[in-house]
Amino acid sequence: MISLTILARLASRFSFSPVPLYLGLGLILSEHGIFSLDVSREFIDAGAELGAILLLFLLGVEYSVDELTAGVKRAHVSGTIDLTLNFMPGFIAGWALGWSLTAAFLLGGVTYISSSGIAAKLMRDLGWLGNRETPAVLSILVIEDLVMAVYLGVAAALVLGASTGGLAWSILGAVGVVGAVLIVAKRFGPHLSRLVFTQSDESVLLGLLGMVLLVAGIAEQVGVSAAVGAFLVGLAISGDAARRADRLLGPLRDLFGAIFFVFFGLQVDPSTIPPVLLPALALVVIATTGKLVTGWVAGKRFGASSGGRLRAGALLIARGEFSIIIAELGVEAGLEPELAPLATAVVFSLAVLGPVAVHIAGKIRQHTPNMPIRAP
Amino acid sequence: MSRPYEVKVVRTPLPGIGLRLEFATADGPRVGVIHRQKGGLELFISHADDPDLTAASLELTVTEVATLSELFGGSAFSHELSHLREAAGGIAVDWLPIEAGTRYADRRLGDTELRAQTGVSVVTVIREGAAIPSPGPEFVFSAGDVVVAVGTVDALASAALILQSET
Repeated sequence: MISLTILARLASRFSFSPVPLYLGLGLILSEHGIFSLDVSREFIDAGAELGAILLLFLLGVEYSVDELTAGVKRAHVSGTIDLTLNFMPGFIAGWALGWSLTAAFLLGGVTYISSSGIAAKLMRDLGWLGNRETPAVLSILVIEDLVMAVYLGVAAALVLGASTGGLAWSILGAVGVVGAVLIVAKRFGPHLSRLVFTQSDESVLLGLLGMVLLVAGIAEQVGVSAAVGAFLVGLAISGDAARRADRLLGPLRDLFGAIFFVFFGLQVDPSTIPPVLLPALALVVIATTGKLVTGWVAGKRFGASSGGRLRAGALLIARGEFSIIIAELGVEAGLEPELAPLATAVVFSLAVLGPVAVHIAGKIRQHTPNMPIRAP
Repeated sequence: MSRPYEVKVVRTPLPGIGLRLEFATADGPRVGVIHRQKGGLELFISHADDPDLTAASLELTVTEVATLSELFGGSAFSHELSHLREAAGGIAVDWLPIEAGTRYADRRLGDTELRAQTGVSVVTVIREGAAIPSPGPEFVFSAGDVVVAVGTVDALASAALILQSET
């Protein structure tokens, strides 16, 4: 715990994401065997799962359904480019390494999704919310998060080894559940928010947590991964209720999130990383390029000059929390032993490289006076 | 620059963050305000040589915003408003345009569920320069209307988001 505190402090001082540091800590602990896994395995297991659920729930809380639909409308072209350019490298790499389809699909997810946490933190810390490319970046992140809700459902089904028919069913199920919740949230969101948010902080906290876990549990029963359920509950909550949820559950998320990332690092034996360094390096290069192209296209659509387009791309480079959640799905199911070390190496490098690229991109300035502001 | 220059305010939703209102100055740099979902206002000014990049941004409290607008030579009205704010604890007035092509152009005030969803009250609607006081739920908006609403700053920001949502 103390080392976590020190790391979090360090991370916020350098406006870095603590995620790679947590991962690193897990790795170091696993190497020296300081930490005895068997003793508290169950506690950590439960804590890690709770962390992932809270992470997705609060991500959903940040968005409203209107924002999601608007985001999709404004950036579906760049969103598609993003999916193609960044999912395929991981997928193909997995396939080239001779992995199963499921493992390759998971690696594709790892390379696809940008860390909205790292990107949002960078934009806030650098005071870039007023930048012209900012709505482009945010729209891409919104689309990615929405894709993720469906993706996690499919991935969960694949990992469980569903048949083709069962798989088609669960894809339909995931899309259906996401769609249904979006509609319900749009119609009844305010009522739902009022229902939960009436009394003291304590009862709100317990009520919310209960609701999230209940829906997450139901989602898992139907075969649509608990994380998706949590994300969707978050979407349904809006306004003042959302603010309160964020304030009350934010600290819990940070605590259990940290446990989740350290736990993931703990599962990876550091000696398994060097053999996968070469594919990891290739993936880092391709995944960086993919995001730069995505940012360029998205920024252009929002009327940003080349400097802004570059910043947009750089902001998207970092991978983080979601990639690890996806990789964890594979680790839990005991898929390819190379998945965890490869994902760790890729996410760790990109989570460090991304912010560095953003700082460099911020130094490049373009002289483009009197450009009209274009409404997207 | 002394050529005539029309100030055009652009509204951009920032998903997960809030709403951005901005305009380009005659000299090039953009000036704008970000209304945070979680509450709070941020003022920003872009670089002189790269209008895409923010040069400075500043978080302001409601009282600071009121004071700033007074420093600019606020009218008697805004002076009274800042007293109103102090008296009524963070209550403010905002002018929210109904733009063509948005969801509530040609729809009833009641359809917006503004009061239920955000808690703001619509005091008046300004249409073609004339004020229509206390519109009822049956009142039908048309593009170009400006809604004068009263509420907390946060509620007004949410109301602005609702009124500018697309069809």
